[in-house]
Amino acid sequence: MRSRRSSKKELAEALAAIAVILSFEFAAPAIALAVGTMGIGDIIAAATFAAGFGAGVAFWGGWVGNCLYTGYLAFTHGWAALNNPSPWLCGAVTAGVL
Amino acid sequence: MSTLRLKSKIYNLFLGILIVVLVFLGELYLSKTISGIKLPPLVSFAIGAPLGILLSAIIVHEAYRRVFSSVKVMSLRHMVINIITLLAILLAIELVVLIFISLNYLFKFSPGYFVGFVVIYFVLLMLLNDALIYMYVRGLGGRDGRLILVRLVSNDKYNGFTINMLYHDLVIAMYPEEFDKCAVDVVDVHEGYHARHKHTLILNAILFIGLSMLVYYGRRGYPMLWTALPFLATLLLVLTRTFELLADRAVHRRLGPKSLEGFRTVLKSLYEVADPRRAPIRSRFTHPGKRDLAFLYGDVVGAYAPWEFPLLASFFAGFVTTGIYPVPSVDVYIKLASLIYISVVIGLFLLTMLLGIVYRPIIRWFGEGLGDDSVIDLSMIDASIFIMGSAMSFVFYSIYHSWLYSNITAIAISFIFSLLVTWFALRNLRRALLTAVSITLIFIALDYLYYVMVPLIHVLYFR
Repeated sequence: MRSRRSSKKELAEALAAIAVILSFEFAAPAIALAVGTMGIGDIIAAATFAAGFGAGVAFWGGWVGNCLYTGYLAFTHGWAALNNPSPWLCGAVTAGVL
Repeated sequence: MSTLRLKSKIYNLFLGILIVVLVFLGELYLSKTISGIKLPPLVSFAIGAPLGILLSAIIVHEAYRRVFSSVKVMSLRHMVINIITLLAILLAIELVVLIFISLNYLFKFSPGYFVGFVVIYFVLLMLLNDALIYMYVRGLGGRDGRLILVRLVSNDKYNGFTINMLYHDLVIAMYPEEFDKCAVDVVDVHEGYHARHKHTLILNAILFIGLSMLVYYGRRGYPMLWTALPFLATLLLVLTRTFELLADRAVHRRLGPKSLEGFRTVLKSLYEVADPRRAPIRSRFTHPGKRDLAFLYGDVVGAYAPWEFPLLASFFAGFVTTGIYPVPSVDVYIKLASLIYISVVIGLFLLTMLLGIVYRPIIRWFGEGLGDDSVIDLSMIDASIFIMGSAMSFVFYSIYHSWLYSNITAIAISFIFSLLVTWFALRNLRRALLTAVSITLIFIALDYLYYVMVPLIHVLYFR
């Protein structure tokens, strides 16, 4: 069954939905502030958590960095192993070729 | 629809509501009357469980007596009704015993031992059910390996039922003496698919393991754990509907588009309508109204209702947001958590639907050849995946203790799942990848603020 509806109408609906979502998202903290469920401090704290700058640096600098370094070591050692082959490796490759 | 039938429907509806209200009031009255009497749990169980099981057996027996009323041979009719009632009683006893022992004894186990116990309990009892039912139906119907096929001759109705056991599968098919070959094939292939893929066994396993884990953790001090119940119920419902659609697609693959004609014959014999959208609600609850798409085109995605995955996602998000924390069982905490649960469920249901509407032009753009129904359903499924993923960032927070990692992981998992589902629907990796990348970017752009809000709910609990 092929689609028949015009995509322009759907695009307009999508834009309207985006407007509703954004106003909904901005309204939620505004209402919470107005009611007194939370204060400005909570907003700042939450935004800080979400941005998590220090954690981000630790993540990219630590875990990802280590992965990259491991890859680097594997590459260099692999290169060295191929350039200075051991008798066992030579034997295995020869046997494989034969 | 004639006025007389409409009147009888309204009458039935009111009768149903009246019975529910009366039962509720009766329970309220009884609970007040007997609240003064304190009995040991084992005694309450020994009195309450048989009464409840007896009531459910009577209801099941009565319901299936009506379903099989058009079967011609009286002895076969009773035999089939008895088999189904026997299975219902066995499952009810097993479930109730499991809940009772989890509530009173098993909650002392560690989680690993508990789950192990429940799995072994389930497997052993399903073997027992298999043996009992097999002894009952031995010699009845035809055998094909693990499949036992019982064919019944009815006055005018086509119908089929499947009971999966651990080893054997029992299929009960009924049709009139002068039958339409295509309609019989539809019933056979549909039920055969249910039987081969152990659908009712899977649903039973989820019910047993899910409910017992709820009781286990509930007893160990998670007072908001009841929020998992709506999620579990919706999960079982969506799974049931998925299984039905897959069985319908199996019929399409075997018989081609002419399977729709056979299906219409079955539907006419049962409900006197040719359109599954006009079937009674008790049928449409588990069998989607748009299932003719599955018969005609083999289109499973398009046959879902647009609301079902957003509903599943919002119940899941509500459960994860409030249910998994051991909050103190103090009135003010429970009230706050309940308020958060209700607002999260309602809010995220609306948000998921809106997000689905935002995704729709993209799915339409990349999903060349998808029908209207498939486009809207796939958008809603993808939106639900992102909402579930963002709720999962609560679970990841309990592992990483950093919102950044949690949100990155949640986005990554949502991306992978949306890619998978879109690929299943489109069967084209390039288009699926383009779709998944686009909707992930839109979700991040649109819901950054939502991600900022997520830690705020957490702050309410832990500061």
